Amino acid sequence: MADLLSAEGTRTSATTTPQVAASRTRTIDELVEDVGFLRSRARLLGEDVDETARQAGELHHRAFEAQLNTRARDVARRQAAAILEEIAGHGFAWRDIARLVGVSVPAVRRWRQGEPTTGAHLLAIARLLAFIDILRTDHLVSDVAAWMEMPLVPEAPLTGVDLAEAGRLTDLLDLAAQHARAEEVLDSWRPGWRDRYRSDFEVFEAADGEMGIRMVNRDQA
Amino acid sequence: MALETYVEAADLYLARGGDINDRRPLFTGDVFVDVPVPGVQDAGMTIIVAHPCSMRGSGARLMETVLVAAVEPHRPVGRDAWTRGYSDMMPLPEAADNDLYVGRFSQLGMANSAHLSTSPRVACLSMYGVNLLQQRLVWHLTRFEVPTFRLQEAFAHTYEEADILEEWSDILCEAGWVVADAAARFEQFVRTAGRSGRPLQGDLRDAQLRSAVRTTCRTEARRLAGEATPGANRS
Repeated sequence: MADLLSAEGTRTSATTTPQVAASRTRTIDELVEDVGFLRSRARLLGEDVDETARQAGELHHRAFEAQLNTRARDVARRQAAAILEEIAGHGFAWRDIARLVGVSVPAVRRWRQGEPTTGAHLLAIARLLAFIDILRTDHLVSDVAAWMEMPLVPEAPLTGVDLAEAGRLTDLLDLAAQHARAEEVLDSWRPGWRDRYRSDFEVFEAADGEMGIRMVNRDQA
Repeated sequence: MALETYVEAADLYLARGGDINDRRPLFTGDVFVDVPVPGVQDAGMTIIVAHPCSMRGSGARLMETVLVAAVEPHRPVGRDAWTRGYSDMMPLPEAADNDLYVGRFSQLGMANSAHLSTSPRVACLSMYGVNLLQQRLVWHLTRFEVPTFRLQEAFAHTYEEADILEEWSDILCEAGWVVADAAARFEQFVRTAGRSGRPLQGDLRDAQLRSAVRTTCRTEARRLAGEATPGANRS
C-alpha cells in the first residue's frame, strides 16, 4: 500500500505506475482498501477535470464576449440600414431580426428606410451581425439563419433564435463549438422543458396537402 | 394544461395603427376599423378569424367572403383571467388605444373581402397572437385545447409567406409596381421549384429551408425591380 500512499501533494498527481508485485499475498481487507483508495483518487481526478472545464468555459465565454464587442464596434461604423440588409442577406426574417435586437418589426422597417437609431440600438444590430460572422467564420455554420431557426431538440419547439433573444449567445456559441449538448443548454435555461412540451398532438400533412394537427396514435408510434 | 395568455400586450401584435404596412397581405388576426358583417353588425371593428389556408382560393386571391368576428371595447380583465375564462373572446389589449378590446366568437359572420380590403387596419397580430387566437377559437367551438406551440409548428409557414410577400411588395412597389400585380407575380414565383425540388411555397414548411426561400425571393424581387423596361405590370 505504500506506493498508493505516496501521493505528491495535489489530488491529481496520481500516476498510473503499475504496482510492484506484492511480496506476499494480500489479504482481502487490504485489497478492498486499495481498490477503494483507487476509486477515491479517480473521483477526485474527475472533479478536478470538471472544475478545470468549468473555469475554461467561463474564460471562453468572457473571451468570446470581448471578441464579440470588439467586432461589433467595428461593424457599428457602418450605417444601420446597411448592417440590417447584410443580416437579412444571410436569410433572417425581419421578424426575427427585430426580436434579436429587442425592438418591434415596424421599428426595424423604419431603420431600413433611413430613420436614425439610438447608439444602443446600432450596437445591438452590429452585435448581431458580428455574432453571425463569428458563427460562420470561426465555427463553420454555413447557413446561420437556418441553424438558428431549427428546434434545438426534436421534442421541443425552442430554437437558437429563442436562445439568442433571451441573451444567451454564449450558449449558442457552446452549441456551435460542440462544447455543450442542446439538452444540457435547455436544462440550464428552461428546467422542466421536457414536461412543458410533452404533447399528445402531432403535426401532419392532411389529404388535401395542407398541414394539420391530430392526436398522436400511440398504437402506431 | 390551461389556455395560454400574453405577458405584454405588445406580444400579441406585429404592428398597430400607423405602423401597419398597407402592403402587407390581409391575414388571420388583422383588426379592421369599420366593416359590415351581415347578420352581425352594420358597421364596426372586426377581426379576421378564418384560417390562412381557408381565406384564399386559387391564385391566392381572397375568397369572396371571409370569416370574421365582431370586435368591441370591454371592461378591464386581468391578464391571467384569460387562462381560466372568457373563452368566447380573444383579448385585444391596447389594439386601438389604451383600452381592452375583445374579438367576440359569439358574433361570427362572413365579411365581404372587398370591404376588408378597403377598410383601414388598426392592428395586425403577431405570429404568437395568431396562435393564441386559434387556440381560443378552437376551444370555444369544440372544447378541444391545442397548445400554441403545435399551432405554430403546423402553420408558421403561412405567416412566413405573408411576411415574405410583404417584403416582396415593398421592393416592387418602390420600383413602381402596383400591389396587386406584385402579389400576382409573387404567387407565380413561389410555385417554382426550390432547393428541395418542391415549390418554394412547400419549402416554407421546413424551418431549415425558410432562410433559403427568403433569400431567393429577395433576390428575385430585386431583379424584377431592377428591370429597366416598364412592362404591363408597372403602374
